[in-house]
Amino acid sequence: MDNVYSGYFSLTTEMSRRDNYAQEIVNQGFPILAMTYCDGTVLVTKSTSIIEKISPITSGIAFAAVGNYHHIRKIRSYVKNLTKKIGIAKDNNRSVQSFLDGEESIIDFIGGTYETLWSMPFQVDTVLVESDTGQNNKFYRIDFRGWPSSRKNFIVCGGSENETSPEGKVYKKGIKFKIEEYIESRNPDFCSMSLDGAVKFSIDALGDVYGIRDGFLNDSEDEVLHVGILEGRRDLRRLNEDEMKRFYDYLKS
Amino acid sequence: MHRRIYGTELEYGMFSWELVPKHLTISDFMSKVGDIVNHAPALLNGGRLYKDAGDHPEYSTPECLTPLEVVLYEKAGERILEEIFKHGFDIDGVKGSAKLYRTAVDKKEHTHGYHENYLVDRKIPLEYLTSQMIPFLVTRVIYAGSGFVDKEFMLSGRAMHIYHESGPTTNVAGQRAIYNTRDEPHADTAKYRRLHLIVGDPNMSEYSTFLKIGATSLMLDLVDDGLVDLEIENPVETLHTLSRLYSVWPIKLKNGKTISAIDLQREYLSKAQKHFSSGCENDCQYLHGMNSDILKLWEKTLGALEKNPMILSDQLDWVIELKMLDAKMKQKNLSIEDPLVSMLDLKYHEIGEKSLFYMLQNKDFVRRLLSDVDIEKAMTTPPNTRAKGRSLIIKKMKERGKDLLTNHTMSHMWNSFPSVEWGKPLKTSAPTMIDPFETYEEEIEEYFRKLDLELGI
Repeated sequence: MDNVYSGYFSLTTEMSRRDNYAQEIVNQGFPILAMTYCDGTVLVTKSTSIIEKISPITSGIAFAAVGNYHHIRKIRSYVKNLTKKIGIAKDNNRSVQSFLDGEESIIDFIGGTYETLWSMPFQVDTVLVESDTGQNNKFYRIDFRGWPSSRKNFIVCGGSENETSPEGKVYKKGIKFKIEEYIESRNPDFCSMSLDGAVKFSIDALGDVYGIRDGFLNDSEDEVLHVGILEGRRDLRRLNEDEMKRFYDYLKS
Repeated sequence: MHRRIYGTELEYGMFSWELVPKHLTISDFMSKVGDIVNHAPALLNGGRLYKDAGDHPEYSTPECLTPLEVVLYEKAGERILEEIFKHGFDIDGVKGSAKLYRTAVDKKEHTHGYHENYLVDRKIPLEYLTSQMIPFLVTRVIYAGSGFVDKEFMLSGRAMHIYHESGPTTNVAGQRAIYNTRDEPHADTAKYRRLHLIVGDPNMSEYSTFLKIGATSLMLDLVDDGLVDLEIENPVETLHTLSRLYSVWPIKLKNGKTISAIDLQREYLSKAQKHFSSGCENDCQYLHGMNSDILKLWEKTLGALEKNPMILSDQLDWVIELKMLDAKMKQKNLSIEDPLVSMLDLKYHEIGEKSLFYMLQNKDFVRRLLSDVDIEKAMTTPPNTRAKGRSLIIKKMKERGKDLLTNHTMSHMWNSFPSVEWGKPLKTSAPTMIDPFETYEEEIEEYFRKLDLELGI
């Protein structure tokens, strides 16, 4: 019963409608910036919702996602279960690559939503960060279609894509591209950045793109700054209140 | 968790082939056979059956205590109508049979009402109640729609006949609203308000009706406790749009964000899950099991609607109908615009043996909540509410040779004694039945005992 389209159901229209919707949901979320610093990786974002946009998977690996709350929960729990299933939780040579190489990989899971005509894509932009030291950090992104990509040094999760004409010409830069452009134009030395420096740089990068560094946190909306840190192969930790205070002060400065 | 009275009113569409060549209209027909349905303003199960303003039969369920009882008494009413019309008719020599349809819209663009009634606390500010119920009512169409074909397949036929957010009208084209402001609680007006909803479709499937009434009742509990605060942009347009989509169902919130109707319903669901996880106390314990059933079904349904609505092709009306129509269209190589598909749509909503829905149900393609034995019993047995008292009055009157062919207005019948001509003025005064939760059995027995003494029966 999965191929119901007897004249009233245009497959192409329906699929593109769902894609556009998924993209719109991802665009609505505030992006997450993950980048290398001297001791590992740091992930920065802001959030108004109760959900942790950044969460640990296993030691040295963090999960971050922007989009539909229910879908984030579903994917995160899938990834955690997968960690136990394929044994990387206990394996010292664990790597995100084993998710991506495995038959039941997270890519299959996210992309697999298209298995039936009726199903919707996950409305989520996902990032898996694997921390080591300096050059060995790995950043993987899987978009809502299940398409994977990876970057060195930093990655942006969420935010709108470039809007392009059918010929491929960019006529409106997306938020994601603008953040990447900001970082690349400053060409920072990631491996020598301190934690403070990395978080402040992330705040600047995200705030600059929105043109609202002062409004990066909007008190009236009860927004909270989220910072997750992977120090080498350790578990993800979040900054405590005292540590966060200096970044809030920086935001107000 | 709040104790509540539920009830629905169902208008049935009618058609008869035999009347066409004689140039008789349904109005002529109903004026003749009106007496058939009007013969007993109240039924033994406490419900009521009457000829409505639009010259069609209308059935009201008795006052029910749970959503499942509503499903049961709706089906019982349908059986009663089936019994009445199964032997056909004879009007001035024109013999024939009538078909009855439980549909929101017939093929002549007439819309037939399906009115849900919920007893709610008058303390809830009306503005808050309206503003919070509207987003819920708009988005519940994704599981409560009964399916409709008009050159395209729509989840709900009724949705296209709704033009306002709130208003008092129930029967004027172009004036119907998502939230109907009619407020006749048929109970203590200082204490209760009647939530009268005309936006819903009459569902064929027991599951759809149960989920529709059940989820609405849990939503009312959340509103009652002030736990929700969500509003959407352009509710009427959104209702029309949602009714035309088969997946995703995007809606725009007042804060400018776009979310799916599934996610909005999930918000309500998760609030309800939290709210009702602690169970309940005192006089509403009988609802606890029912509420957890509704919550489970609600969660499962939303999950399936997101993953693949066709999973629900044995439960939800619009999905059952869509699957059936699709199979027929493929088999006969028809397009959705073909008049035959429109006829199949009507045939799905017919009541009786020839109904496509009941054919599917009898072949176990549709899951059920009720058994035929329960439904048969509910045709003559009232629920444990004021309906029980009403049923007792009917029995007592019949024992005394009185049929309730009186001229009292319909609304009087719900909370007061019917006026019956006994041949002389009576000193014994009839009890009033203002509390719908009470059965009034003792008072009624006492009244008839005194009446018998006075009349010397």
